[in-house]
Parts: sequence; structure tokens; C-alpha cells
Amino acid sequence: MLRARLATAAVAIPLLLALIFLAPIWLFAAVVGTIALLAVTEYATLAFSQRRGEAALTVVLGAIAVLGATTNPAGPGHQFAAGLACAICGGLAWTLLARPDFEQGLADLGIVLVGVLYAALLLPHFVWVRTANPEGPRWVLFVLAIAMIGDTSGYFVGRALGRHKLMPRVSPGKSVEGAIGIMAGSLVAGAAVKALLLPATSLAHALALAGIMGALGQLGDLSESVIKRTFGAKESGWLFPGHGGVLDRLDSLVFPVTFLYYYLIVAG
Amino acid sequence: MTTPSAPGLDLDRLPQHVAIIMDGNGRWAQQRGLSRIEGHKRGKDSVRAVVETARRLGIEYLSLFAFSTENWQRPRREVDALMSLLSRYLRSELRRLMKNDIRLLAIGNVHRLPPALQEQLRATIEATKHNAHMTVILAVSYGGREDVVQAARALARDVRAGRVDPDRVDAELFGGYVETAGIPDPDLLVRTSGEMRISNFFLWQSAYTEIYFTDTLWPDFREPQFLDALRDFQHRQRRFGRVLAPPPERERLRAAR
Repeated sequence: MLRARLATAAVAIPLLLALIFLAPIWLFAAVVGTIALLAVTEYATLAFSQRRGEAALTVVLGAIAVLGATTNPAGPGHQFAAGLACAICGGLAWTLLARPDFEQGLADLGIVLVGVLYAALLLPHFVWVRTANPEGPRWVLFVLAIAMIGDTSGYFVGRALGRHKLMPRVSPGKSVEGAIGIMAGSLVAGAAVKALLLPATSLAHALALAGIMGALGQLGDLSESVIKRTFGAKESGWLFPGHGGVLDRLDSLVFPVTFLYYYLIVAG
Repeated sequence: MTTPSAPGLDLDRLPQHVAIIMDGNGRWAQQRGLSRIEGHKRGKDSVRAVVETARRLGIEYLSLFAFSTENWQRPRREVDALMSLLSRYLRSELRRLMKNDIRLLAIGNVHRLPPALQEQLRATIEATKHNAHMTVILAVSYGGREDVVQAARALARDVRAGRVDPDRVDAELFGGYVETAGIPDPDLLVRTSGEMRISNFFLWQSAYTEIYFTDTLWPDFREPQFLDALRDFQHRQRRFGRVLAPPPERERLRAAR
């Protein structure tokens, strides 16, 4: 497990850095869009493993909304709103036309839309953070470093010291000690990225952001566990050996990146 | 219209005419890896913010250097996008201009614009010509030298036709021939994005204009940045080449130190 993780990381990290700092924005947006599509597909497979109609609907609506969200990398503009509007109108129309049992159909549509919004509303914030200001690529790294180093330190601290279960009903493997390890790792990562790349941001500021984002990352992680629990899966997919599926990889990123974008827009 | 609130600003000593060189849209976009056109789109929002702030404070004239004669040499795609943005701006702003009682004027080689845009501009100017609270002067395809040259040409014609005696030509008379005839000279000229040049804007008109340079790029120049410029203006002592006596208290204290 650990070896598989390290091997994946050794390939992924240089690629990721090149994508963040060197790739043109359209390529970055295309990659985020592709990941969002993979995420919504994975979600559809989890949520509707026996029902191909609903699974297909989730992917189609998700694709429309993701396309809208990633065509204008400058920020959540009209294309983004139009994509979401299409998804919601399309979903309601589908319930009307394809679901004679519309009461249950509407409940299913709720499940469909959670997946669509997760992929098309939350994930594109990576693109918008990158263009939010001239330091955008550095802030993207800030998000990734906090999540990755936080998760890694949580993993080791939890394995070594984990005694007290955090939320056994949602995610039995997580301990309070691990959560503290994540917070410590997040703070260290935040301070390190600030020291290396964000000279204009004060250390207190960076630490406060890292603390909030570390906590949000754990909320996101546990929320994704709720999704998996609900649909009865242990890992969300198979894409990265040892790392689980796309959703498993994104769970501690989406809440923090969304928060950070609005923080940069309002406070920057 | 809400009451003006601008801490640190003396509303009785505001400039009557503010001119702005709106620079830095392209750089703003490039810094973010976006297309230059995206920068111009954001710049349009800054125009709206600055016009509304000026109106709220009661500034009478606001000149905006939107597009210089040299800008025609930019890539075709960017020029086209600028033209379509200007067109969209005119369409979307007409209602606001009417509501806020703002008159629109245009100076520069307007006839170089695409015909449809010329017509739209003409119609907007016509529609707002009786508005009296504020005047927004859009400098499109404007060049300061061209302005002085066309004034000289028009004056020369009048001299040849015998309407003007060459010995009576002075600055005041000449000022009646430049495109801004009838509009007071700008008190404050703002240039964004850190460049420290006039770039062929108001050459004749800015003889005694206070100039304010800021590193802020135009898409980031909104109400707070505009207020900063106005505050800076109010801290200056405008002498128009004369000596003002006695010096204000603050100056004397500084001299005594």
C-alpha cells in the first residue's frame, strides 16, 4: 500500500508542478475539466451501480456543467452559470419525461445533482484560483501542499499514535490523533509554501489560512466518506494504485480550494 | 443617489475635471495567463466603477483615454475585441447614463471606428446631450499631437479666410480650436500601471495638470484606488507657476525642522 502510494507520487508530483507553473491556462483548465469528468463518472458509478439511466444522466449533466465551468478560466462567469442552469433544467425535464414514479425520481435527481455540483461547481475553483491574481499558480500549490502534506502526516501520526476513533460510523479508520496530525502537517505545509513562494503574505496570515483549510479538508474528506458509506463502497475507484479513485484523491482538496478562491477575491 | 462617503476627502476641493489614461489591461490578463481580451473585459468594469464614483462625488468632467491612434497597430483580433467591447459598453451603459444624468462626448478620430460603432456612438451622444450632472469624454482613436495639429489647421484656415487676425492668436484663442474647446482643462491626470508617460494624450490641455501615477493596473483600479488618487491630489499645492503666500501651517512646520 505504502509503496504503491510512493510510486504514484513520484510520477505525479513533477507532472503536477509542470501543469501548475508551466502549462498554459487552457491546458490547465482542460485537465481540471477532465478530472471533474472522471469524478462525476466515478460518482455516477458509485451512486447508480445498478441503474444505467440515472448513471448516464449524471454523467451527461455533469459534462455539460463542467464544460460551462471550464470554458472561461477567468472566473465563475456566465458560461458557468449557464452550464449549471442547463444541468438543473435538464434534470427536472428528465424526471418529468422519464420517471413515471416522479416522487422517487425527484429524490434520485437530488443524488444526481450532488454529483454534478461536486464536479462542476467545486472543482473548477482550481482554475479560478490559478487566475485569481498573478500569484495564482503559487496559491494552487498552497492548496495541494496543505492537503497532501496534511494527509500524509495524518496517515503516519494516526498509524503510530491513533487510539481514539474520530467518526467511526462514517470512516472507521480515522482517529482523533490522525486529525491532529493533519492539522500539524497543514500548518507546516502552509508555512513552507509561504516561505518559498508567497513573500507578500504574512506568516500569521498563511498559518490562519492553512489552519482553516486543513480543517475544511478534513470536513471534505469525511463528507466524501458519507457518499461512499451511503452507496456502500470502501474505495471510490481504481484510478491511482494505492490512492483509491479520483474522488478519494480530491476529497481533501475541494472544500479548501473553494474557500481559498473567495478569500483571494475578497481579501486580495 | 447615495450621499458621498469618502473618508479623508474634502468634497469642496475636488478636481473639476479628471482625465484618466486607462493602462494595464493586457498586462493584468497576461499575469494571470489569460487572454488580453479578458483584461479589457475587466477594464470595462473599472470604467463603470470610476464613472459612478465620480458621479457620486460630483466631479463634473471625466475624460477617459480609451484607445489611442497608436492602438490601431495592435493585433487585429484585439482591436476587433476592443471595438466590440466599446459597442457593448455603449449599449449597456446608455440606461445608466440617462439615469445618472450623464452626458457623453467623444473626441478623437471617431471616423476611423467601424461605421456601425460610429453610428452607435453618435446615437448615444445625441441621447445624452441634455444630461447635465456630469460629462464623460471618451477619447477614442485620440492623439494629443493630432489634436494640436488639427487645431492649427483649422486656425490657419480661419486666418486665410480673414476671420482671424494672426496677431490676435494667443493661447486662449488657440484653445478654442482643440477638440476639448469649452471644457475646462483637466486638474488631475491619472495614469495606471506604473508607466510614467503622457503617451500623446492631452498635450495642450495638461499644461498645469497634476499628474498621478499608480502601479495599479486598470482592471484593479476601482473606487478605493480612485479615492486614493483624489486624496493625493488634495495634498498638493497648485500654484500654476506662481508663488502662493503665506505658506500653509504644515509647510512652515516642515521648513522649521
